[in-house]
Amino acid sequence: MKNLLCAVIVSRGLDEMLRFCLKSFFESSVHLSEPVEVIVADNASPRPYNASSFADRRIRLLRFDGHKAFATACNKAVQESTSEYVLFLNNDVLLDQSSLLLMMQHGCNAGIGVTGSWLYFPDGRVQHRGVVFGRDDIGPYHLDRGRFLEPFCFVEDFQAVTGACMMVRRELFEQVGGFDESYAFGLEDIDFCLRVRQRGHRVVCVNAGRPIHFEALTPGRIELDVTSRQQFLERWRGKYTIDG
Amino acid sequence: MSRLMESVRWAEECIVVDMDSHDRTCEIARQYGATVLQAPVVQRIDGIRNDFLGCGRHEWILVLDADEYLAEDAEQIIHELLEQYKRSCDAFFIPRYNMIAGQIMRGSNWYPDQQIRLFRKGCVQWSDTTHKLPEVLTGQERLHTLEPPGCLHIHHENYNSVEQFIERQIQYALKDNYPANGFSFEDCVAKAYEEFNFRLDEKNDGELSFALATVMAWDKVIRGLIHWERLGRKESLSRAYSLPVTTIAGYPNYLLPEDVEELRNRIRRLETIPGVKKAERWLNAFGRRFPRTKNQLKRIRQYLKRTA
Amino acid sequence: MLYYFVPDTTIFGGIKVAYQFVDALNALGIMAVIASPGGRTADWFFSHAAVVDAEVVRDSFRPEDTAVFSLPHDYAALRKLPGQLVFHCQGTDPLIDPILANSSVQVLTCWRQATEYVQTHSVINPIEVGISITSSFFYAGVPKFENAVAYMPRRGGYLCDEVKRAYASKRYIAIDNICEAEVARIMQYSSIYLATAEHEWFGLPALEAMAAGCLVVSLPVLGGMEYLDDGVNCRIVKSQDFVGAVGELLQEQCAGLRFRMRQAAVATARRYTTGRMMQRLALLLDGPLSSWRKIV
Repeated sequence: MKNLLCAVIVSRGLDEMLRFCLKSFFESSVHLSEPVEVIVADNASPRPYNASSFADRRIRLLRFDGHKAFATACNKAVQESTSEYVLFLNNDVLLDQSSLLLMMQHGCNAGIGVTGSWLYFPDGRVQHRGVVFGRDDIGPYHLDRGRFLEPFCFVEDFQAVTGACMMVRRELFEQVGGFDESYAFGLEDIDFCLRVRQRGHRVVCVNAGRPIHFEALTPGRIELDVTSRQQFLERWRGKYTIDG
Repeated sequence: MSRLMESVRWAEECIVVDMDSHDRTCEIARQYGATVLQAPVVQRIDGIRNDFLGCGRHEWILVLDADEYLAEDAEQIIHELLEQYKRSCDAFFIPRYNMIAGQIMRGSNWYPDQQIRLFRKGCVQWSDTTHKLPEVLTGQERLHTLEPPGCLHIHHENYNSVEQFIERQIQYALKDNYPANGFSFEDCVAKAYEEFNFRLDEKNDGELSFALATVMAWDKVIRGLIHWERLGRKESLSRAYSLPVTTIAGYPNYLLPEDVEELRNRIRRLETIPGVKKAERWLNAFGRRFPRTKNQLKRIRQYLKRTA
Repeated sequence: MLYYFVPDTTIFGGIKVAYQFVDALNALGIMAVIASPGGRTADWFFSHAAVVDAEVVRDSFRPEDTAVFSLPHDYAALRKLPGQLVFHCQGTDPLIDPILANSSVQVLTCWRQATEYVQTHSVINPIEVGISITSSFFYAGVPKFENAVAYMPRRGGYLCDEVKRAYASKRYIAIDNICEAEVARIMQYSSIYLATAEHEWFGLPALEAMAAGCLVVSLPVLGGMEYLDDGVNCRIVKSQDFVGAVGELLQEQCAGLRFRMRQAAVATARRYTTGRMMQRLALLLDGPLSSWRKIV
């Protein structure tokens, strides 16, 4: 029987964090009442993940000995999946019980192209609730990041959402050409969302319970971010509308 | 209470439904020979009437509130109405004079304020609301409207003062039911404006009309906020500004946000360009243009002296 | 796909209306994007519409696609495309008559005056989609300076100069070549807005100023008369009476009139919120524009 949803988790080290991430994903998937699967892309973890340590048969492990760009790892993982929908999930995102159902209901099932979610820091401040674009060199940034804010509507339209928790129909992902592998780390998700928008599909951020995102736990991420950002701005500056 | 009892002493039967009064209400009622029945205290007072309509022995019922009364010729008019219309209708739509703070309101929104109060038993039912009209169960065609002038009226001494009016509106707003869906604060503010225009009738009711219209408009806004809280404060208030738009007093030399920005930019540049004398000259010119910025400029001069 | 062709990215009200229209369509589930030269976006107002290269779109246009435009000048090039052509009529003048003569063009109008023009000048039955004011213009309680007067020097600047000479004690703030958010901020704290652009089609700035609670003194406009009510929510005067009208408004005894006019202005502007426009559009998409729901 074909799976409804496949979670793609690109992970490096942080074994225990990954375990909790998987646990929260499966707990949330109970409410979907349809089969789900997970593909964990082991992105050159110094100590490779042990397939047998994942007790669940729904988890498939892809091991990369050489470190891959996030985009490359995701694209390869999606090629291996057979589900109707794909959820890109960071290994430091703990979903809420109702998250998957709400994202499915208000997002993908409503004909939306890409569905993101409100994400919170452990202390309750907003980590992500949609990506907006500022003028000139400001470019894309998370709206209301770090503020204490409550959602006041279920669905809000944006030009992009974070790939830390992003649900998309696999067919659309392949149609648009997947993530752009020239991005080293970061902004490939925003690049993807803008391309989806150019095909007329909606990108929304859904109020999906209170999932937590610890953010940037993997060491070395920040340095790679800078080059990606420059690359993104070179390609897209003047081509996105200003909404923040 | 006495005035009400006096004006209906001709009725064949009189039932007073008491909602836990602690004054002489029940005593006065019994003095006039009325049957006093007890009712539980409820939030919304319309529906409770239904429970007692069946208690009377007669076919036709006249419902009045404790702050209402009838005119001297009410008995005669009612008998004539029943004679003429008892076959063709089951209820009468009776106009009401409302007296607020000692003034009888004649504006189009306070008058004729028709009420369904004289009806055949079993033909009328109220809902769980406050101050809403009941439903005529046998159909609207069976409701006969009395057209003023010259017809039967209910006399209603609504409120003794504007203060009491305000207090009562807030109480009704706090006790009302609010639906789970369809909240829009923008709509509430828009309705407030509509309500104001609807209630205003200075030609007929003068200054009091303006005061009451203001309170009724504010009532809509307050209800919106109560509704918002009852729904868990999750909805957006859509930045729907509900206060009147007005300007602050016009001093010609008020600092606009532009001016403050200009001041900040100049200070920043002054910090990089040497030459205190130039700064002094510029500050003096600015001070002459904006006399109210004396204090700010004093602080800047002190800063310049320190860093020179 | 629905493509809304815009000529460029300069500061021109019609472009903002186009982007906001596409935003509304997107939110209602219609697949629509902006087609702009070189895929360049206008960056002087807020929008989240997606933008694609107009050249590329024209080359790959399919019969199932829909092309929308509002500048009459674009008609000549776009009429050659296969698929449905839609004219979003933001203003009326004889330049649009050739477009109206083509009965296969679907016409959407923003104002009642435009609807009437189309009905009298052609056999086309236009669909009135209305217009909306960006939410940042609506007055939200910032201190409003009685002496602040906002104006747009680019159009009818000479009238503003005359007013400045006559009433030098006021503070005049020019709104020229700045982004929408800044314009909104200035209008919010200004007391009066001078709408001096002659022969304006619809004068969206005047409506935006009303939303911000400004007293608007305006020259007569063609399309905006459906919301401008002289003496009630604004003043409409000819150019020779302009300075006099501003003076009248500034008199001491007119304080009550000024106050009432402000509230009336805000009440009028509330009819043009984004929410209302989306409601109207949703109804149209269930009715005369139901074919748009099938756009892929």
